[in-house]
Amino acid sequence: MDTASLNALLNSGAILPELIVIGTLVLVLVVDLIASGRKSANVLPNIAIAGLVASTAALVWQWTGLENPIAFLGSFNSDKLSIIFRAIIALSALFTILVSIRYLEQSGVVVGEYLVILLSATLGGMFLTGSDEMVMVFVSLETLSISSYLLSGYTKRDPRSNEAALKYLLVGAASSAIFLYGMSLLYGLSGGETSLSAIASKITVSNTALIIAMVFVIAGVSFKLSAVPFHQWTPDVYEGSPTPVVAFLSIGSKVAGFGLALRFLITAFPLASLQWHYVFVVLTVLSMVLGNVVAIAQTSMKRMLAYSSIGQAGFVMLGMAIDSEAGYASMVFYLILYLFMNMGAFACMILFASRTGTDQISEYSGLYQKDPLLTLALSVCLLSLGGIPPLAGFFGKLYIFWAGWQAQAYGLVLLALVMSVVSLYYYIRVVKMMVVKEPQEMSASVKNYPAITWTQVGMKPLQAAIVFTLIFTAIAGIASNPLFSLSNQAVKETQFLQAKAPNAKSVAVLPTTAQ
Amino acid sequence: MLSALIWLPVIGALVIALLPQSQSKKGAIIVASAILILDVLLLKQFDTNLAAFQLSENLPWLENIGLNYSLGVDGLSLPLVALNGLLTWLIICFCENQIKERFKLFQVLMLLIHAGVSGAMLSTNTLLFVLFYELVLIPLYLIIAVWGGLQRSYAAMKFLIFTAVSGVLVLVGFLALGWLTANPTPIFDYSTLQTLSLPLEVQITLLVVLLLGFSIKAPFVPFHSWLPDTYVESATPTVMMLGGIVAKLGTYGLFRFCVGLFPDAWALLAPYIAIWAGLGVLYGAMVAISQKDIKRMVAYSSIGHMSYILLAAAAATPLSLIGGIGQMVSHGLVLALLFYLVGVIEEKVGTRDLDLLNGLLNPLRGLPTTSALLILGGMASAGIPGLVGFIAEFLVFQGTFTKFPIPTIFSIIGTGLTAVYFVILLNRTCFGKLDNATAYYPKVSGLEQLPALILTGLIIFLGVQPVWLVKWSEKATVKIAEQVEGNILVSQNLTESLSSPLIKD
Repeated sequence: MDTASLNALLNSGAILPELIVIGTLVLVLVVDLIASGRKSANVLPNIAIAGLVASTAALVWQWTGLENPIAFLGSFNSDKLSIIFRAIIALSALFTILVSIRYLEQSGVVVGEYLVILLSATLGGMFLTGSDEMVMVFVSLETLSISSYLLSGYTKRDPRSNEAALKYLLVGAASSAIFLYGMSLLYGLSGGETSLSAIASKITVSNTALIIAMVFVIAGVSFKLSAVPFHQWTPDVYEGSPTPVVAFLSIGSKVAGFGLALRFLITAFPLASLQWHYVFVVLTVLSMVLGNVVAIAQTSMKRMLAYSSIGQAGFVMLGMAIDSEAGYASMVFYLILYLFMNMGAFACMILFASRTGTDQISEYSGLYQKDPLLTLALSVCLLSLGGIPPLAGFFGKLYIFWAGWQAQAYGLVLLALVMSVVSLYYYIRVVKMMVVKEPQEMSASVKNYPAITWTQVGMKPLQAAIVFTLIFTAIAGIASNPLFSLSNQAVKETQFLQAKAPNAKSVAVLPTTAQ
Repeated sequence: MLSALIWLPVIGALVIALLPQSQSKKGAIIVASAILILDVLLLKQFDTNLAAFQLSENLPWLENIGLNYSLGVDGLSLPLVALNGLLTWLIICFCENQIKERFKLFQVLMLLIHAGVSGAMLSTNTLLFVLFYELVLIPLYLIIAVWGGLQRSYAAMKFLIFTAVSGVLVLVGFLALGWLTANPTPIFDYSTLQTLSLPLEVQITLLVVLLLGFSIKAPFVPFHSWLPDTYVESATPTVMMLGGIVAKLGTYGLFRFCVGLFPDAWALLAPYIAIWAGLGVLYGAMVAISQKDIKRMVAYSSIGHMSYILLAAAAATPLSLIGGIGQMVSHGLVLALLFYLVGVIEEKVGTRDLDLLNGLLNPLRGLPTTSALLILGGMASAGIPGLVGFIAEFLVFQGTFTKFPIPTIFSIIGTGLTAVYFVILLNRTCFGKLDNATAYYPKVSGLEQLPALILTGLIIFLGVQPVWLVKWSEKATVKIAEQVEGNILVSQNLTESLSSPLIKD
């Protein structure tokens, strides 16, 4: 095999965005070694941000400029769906860095390693969404997971952070083991294939072993999605981990999980398609109900957002459970919007915590008087998560419900609608604290709220993140046409989603009856 | 033109939010006046000889899911849009002293509510309707929760949950309706939906879902329990807006979607709905009689008066429908007037308790003008000829009597009971003697009386010249009625074949 054909087989252009992230990661490490102290803390985040921007730009180029998406002998697939998911992960890392700088500065921890771990988590997530082969899947999954454990235990002087990391590690490692066992079953059943599509073509009969493998794979994936009943780590890890890390975990890590779930389940389990959709219906119902109902009772903002993210994952899984093209598109669409809504909420929470040192919901009381911008941004993001028009979340939910109705999943849509009313209750509770309370009902933290200065280290990026997510959340719904066609296009032009389309039970039926 | 009606308040609200406190008031007054002028222009431009949507605007938006920005105005929405403009203008220009704190936020929210209500009434796409319908939710929640009585937090949450459920039901109804035809793309365009002929059982199911959704908002009797709390705990301008126009979204939806889209099912269910409406009227009146708080009394009177509209819709004759729209406008004006006056009394006297109020008609130390206007408003509400309430109610009764005599008689009894509780209210409030120990009430300034005078002027004018109340919607109501009438034959045949003994007329 000569170099040219090897190069063609490897097709390393497909992983250009990841290469850029790796380059950035190395650069951050090197600069951290050379520059020291204050100076490195100032310059490193900028390098990482620039790297992630470049990586996103490369993804934008890939959208149209990439001729052959298959790379590395078929183990990596840079199709449109993976491009969108990778872009969401890269952007979530980008925003995470923007909101972290202030947090790291205040908690007095080292910036360099944090960025390196975050970037490697990003890398793991990006590879995970494009992996088409089991070894690759497992390697990237572990890259993401191990980095996540490290990140959640990063503030090591805080006992809660340590506890969170330990909990996350134990649960995560166990779920990885189960996932790995499921994959080993698949490997055996298919007579020694590791590529997902080859497995599908080799396994010709659906038997108990295949179902067991599927259940084990779903158990591993659901841990990443924090789908009920694999969610128990979420509230504790979210509460203990550093807040910017939670922002990344609730978006980047989850999106990577969704990317993996889609590709793995659809490609490797065409025979068990009915079964895994059924399992996802159950997971959706449980996640929506538990996430949203338990969130009502929370007193800490972080825990509330943890349960809310379980509930939100339930809404997204609805798009997956209904098994239709519109369902997958609505899921992609919602994840794009979710990136900005959730990131905005976390950014506001970080800003509030950095000014007052607390994240209790009751401490937000009367904030409108002291900090209107924060009040506005947090209200908009939370209401958008609750699905209030004309904010982004409304359109995201509308599309999911629409797709669900199209696929005749009436019960799921009705439940989701009821749960979105429930979610409105706890989202509006925070808004009520901030906006409605009178000056005399102001909480102690807000009474001592420091004057607003944007000159401290890390405040400018935080402000930029808040303003950007605020504007996006407010506008993206009304002007959602580009994002809308983007997600539709991603699903239409992704091969593995199309390959299964003839088998889809409901949607494929509709156009044919019309003819 | 129609877009301007929606976007002017939205943009106005954004600009006002950025202006400093001192200039925001002027800005809001300019915006509200501009809206009012636009409404007047709209009334002038409107061609009363057409039944179809006029001044339509169509822009593709999210075409993939069928959500298009399509607006249009017809005789059904026009009077309500104008009423919306009028009430917003009155509230923004004259209600500052009922609000006192954080007036800027209040103005912003009020303009957003206005935009949402206008948008819902003008949209001819069902998904767009839902969007605007839900848009009103949060500003109203905030406006109830920030300004008002002691229990406002509870009342606001109750309102929020009831209304959110109502929105869910409406959305479910529209999604289901849109997907009914085996098209690859669903239909959410109102005019297209009107042309569908659906199987009867599907119609009934969807009708029940939508009817529930709109009944919560309007509200009709068993779904009304948010109303007394919310109305009583809200500040005066809020409740003027809420009762005057926002609740009309429910009845508007009833006319537009329930009657307009499911004529067969409507014709079939109408007798039951008429009985429901009759009972609602009686219930509202009976409960109002037993109240000790004047605001609560007016709130329950509102429940009774909204049920007339349900009765009018049930009959669906051209006359009753026009009376129904007349009743929406008249109830909006009268309720706004009554709540405004109650607000003035509460502010000046310091109580709303019927056992403590007395002798306010006293020319020197009482509140004579306010009391006089209150008597007039009470009379308008009770259906005294010469005022707008009589016209609307009479049209409704005349339109419904031939079809549903018993529920109509119920409602007429209800009107009598309305007179009873308003006489109780007026007797305890305006007549009698002032208590010498407490009667040192602040004066009511001319500016404070102006909104009430404007509303009273309109109530008398429309009562004497009712053409101005009904001429807008003649054609539109005839069109809806024809649909139902034409289908009554069909459904009668159907019901005969189903041998249902309950349908008699």
